Amino acid sequence: MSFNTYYETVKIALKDRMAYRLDFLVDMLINPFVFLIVQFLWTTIYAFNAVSTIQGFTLQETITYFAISQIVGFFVWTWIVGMVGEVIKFGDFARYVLMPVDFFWSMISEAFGNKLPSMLIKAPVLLLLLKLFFDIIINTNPVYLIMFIMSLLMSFLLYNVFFFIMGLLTFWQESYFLFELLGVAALNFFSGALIPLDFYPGFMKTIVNILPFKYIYYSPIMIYLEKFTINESLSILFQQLIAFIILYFIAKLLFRIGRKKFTSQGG
Amino acid sequence: MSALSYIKQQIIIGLTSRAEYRFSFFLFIFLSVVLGFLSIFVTYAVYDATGGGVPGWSFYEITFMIGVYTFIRGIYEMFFVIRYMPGEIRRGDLDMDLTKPLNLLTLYVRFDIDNIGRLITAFLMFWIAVPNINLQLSLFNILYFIFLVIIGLLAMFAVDLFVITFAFFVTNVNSIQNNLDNIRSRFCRWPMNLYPKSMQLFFTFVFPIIFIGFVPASFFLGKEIIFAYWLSPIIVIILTLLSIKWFYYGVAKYTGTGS
Repeated sequence: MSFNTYYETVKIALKDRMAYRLDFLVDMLINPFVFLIVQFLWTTIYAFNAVSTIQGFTLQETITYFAISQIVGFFVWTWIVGMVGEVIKFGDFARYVLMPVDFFWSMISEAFGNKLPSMLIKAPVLLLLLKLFFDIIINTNPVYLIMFIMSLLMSFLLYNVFFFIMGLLTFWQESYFLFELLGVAALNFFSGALIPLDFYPGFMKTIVNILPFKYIYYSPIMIYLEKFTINESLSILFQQLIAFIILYFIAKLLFRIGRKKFTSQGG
Repeated sequence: MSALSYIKQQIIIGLTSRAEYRFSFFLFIFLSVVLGFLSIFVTYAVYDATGGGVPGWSFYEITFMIGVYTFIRGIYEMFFVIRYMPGEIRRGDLDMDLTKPLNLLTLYVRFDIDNIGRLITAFLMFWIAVPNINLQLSLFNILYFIFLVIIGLLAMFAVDLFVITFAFFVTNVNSIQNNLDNIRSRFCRWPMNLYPKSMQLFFTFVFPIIFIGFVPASFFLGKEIIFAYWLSPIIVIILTLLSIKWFYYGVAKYTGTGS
């Protein structure tokens, strides 16, 4: 098992992804159009309520929040739950057991390779387009930008280890689809992907603060917006790392238990 | 086999296949309802955080409108699965469908019971909203509302048919489908009068999603819209006919995928 093995997996997944250039182009053209809803909705809300800030967010910050939320989506969203689920469901898992690779890192490498075009092309191009057509904040502070990128990479790992766990649950159910749905529901409710968590009513704020989902969307966006001091941002990066380590060990444990169940069924 | 008995068979198949995995089915329905409620949760959070929300619409009125949208979408996707056609074209399965002695579009009337979650969500939304809104109740209004819901179903069909027809010319339309679905579900969750007139016209005459939720809900709530309510059926019927014409043009140009 060497780094080269995972590097090759990333390269193959990247090539596979680049075969869908039309999808890529359509995504690029339609995303700014979808963003119009954010612009009109929030401009109306701020004007109608005659406020300059809502829960500490100016209009420009709110619009930027949604723009960066799309960028985070381009970085983190993968179909690892289906990749893991299908490997288990259709018996390919036996092949992975025999191969000298770690199942988790092999899946993560494939997901990362699939995501690279989005990270390196889609995200910067969309940011540029949104800046051209909408009044969003472009953060040029190098310290915050570095912390934002580090935070995005941690978000990628957190998202993928979480959905990897959801995929592993296929060992105990006939389909991963339910777990995918469960994961999407949890992520949408608790991560800040749809709306800043500061806008949530009081009781929900308590719940989201306990759960690790906020580290996937909310935390990197807040770092980008410089809503945290440098020390607070570093602390967030550390918390993301801890959350990842905990989820990673849960994934390892589930994998070990699931693998025994898989062997006992004969694959 | 007639079209009706074909549809009846599809409903029986849909029910029996789901009865095999009851636990998964009920969990799936529960999760669909949870996900469905996400949109009104976001609306609630906006109203809670701002105090006033959006002009001209209360939280409960928007909940009602999202309920109408969810209901129309639930009914449509429960019985009409034309969205799967691009996949069948890609795999070469459509070639077989074309040899069957039924209209091609009839073959895509199936019974997808999974959408029952959407209908439950819609009824829960109505249950929350209706006691808190002022519905313009009269026999005529109820009947015309039902008629507008049917027009909404037709609008869903027109949009879907228009998009999937591209699959006859380019092999992979996944991205177009996903993105247009994204546009539909995002724009239909807020009142259309938040957007400029040009966009309202675009969503009326080009991509008629204004009829899936906003128009029927506005009618029942007694709200003004940018054109007369009686014009809705005419616009949607014309767009549906154009979509059908476009679809059969695509079928005529289809030469198979070589699978």
